[in-house]
Amino acid sequence: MRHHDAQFNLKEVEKLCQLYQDCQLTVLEETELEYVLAHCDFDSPVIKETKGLMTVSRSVKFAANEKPHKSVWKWVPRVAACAALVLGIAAIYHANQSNDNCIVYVSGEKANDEIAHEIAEADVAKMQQFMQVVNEQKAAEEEKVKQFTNHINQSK
Amino acid sequence: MKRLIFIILSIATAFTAFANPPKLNVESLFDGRYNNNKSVTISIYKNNGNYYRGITIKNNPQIIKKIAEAIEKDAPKASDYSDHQCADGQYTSLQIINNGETIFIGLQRDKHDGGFFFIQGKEKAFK
Repeated sequence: MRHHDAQFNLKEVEKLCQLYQDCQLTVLEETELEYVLAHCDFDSPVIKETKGLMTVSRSVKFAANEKPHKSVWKWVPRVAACAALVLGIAAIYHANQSNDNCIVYVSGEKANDEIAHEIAEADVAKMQQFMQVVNEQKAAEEEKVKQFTNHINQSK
Repeated sequence: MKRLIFIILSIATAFTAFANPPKLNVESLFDGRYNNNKSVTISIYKNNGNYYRGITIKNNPQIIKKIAEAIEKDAPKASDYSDHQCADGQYTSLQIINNGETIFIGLQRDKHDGGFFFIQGKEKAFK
């Protein structure tokens, strides 16, 4: 193909357009033809068709050259799911670790919080006294067994 | 992302699977059956990682008997069992180890068809 600033007649332009449509031109030649068509005043069905094809080709190239647009919004549900998971685990952990909790029924009636705490704490004190009694009994029994065993051993 | 969530959930499930609740017969006594009973006081108390449940009985030998039967059913699981008769009544106690913690169970029977029963231990022992 002649250099793009050379003058072409109509027939030559149409022939080039036909070669373009038959994919007989190199990329460089196609680019030069596009330049020629943009700067010439010739018009014919072949030229129009070629210009139309060049427009379509250009839009396809632009679409292919566009970098995929990274949408920030794609990450929002992922981050929200992670945050919900972490908060859920934290809430369960906190609930398991929580503060005191007291329920008391007295003679079939549920007691209010203040009375419930008083009764529960009194019960805990009673429990500690129970365990002290049991431990003292155990110690006393063990001492009896020890004395009995010693007595038996001495009498042998 | 999905793999990470799956791994986290698997780890959480594995941790919960390692802990076994003790499944004690005495725990069933706190299922609400005596909440409306006028001869008992029921206390359920959780504080600083300690878990306590108690029943104080007045003049009700049937409930005392039920509690004693539940304790006898759990006795085989106990690492320590004692039963003493003394001036102020009968003291029955169990110690059961679960999840590395000790659960204390006690029943004191007085001479007037009354008594005091409790279960106490760290919360971890009951999970």
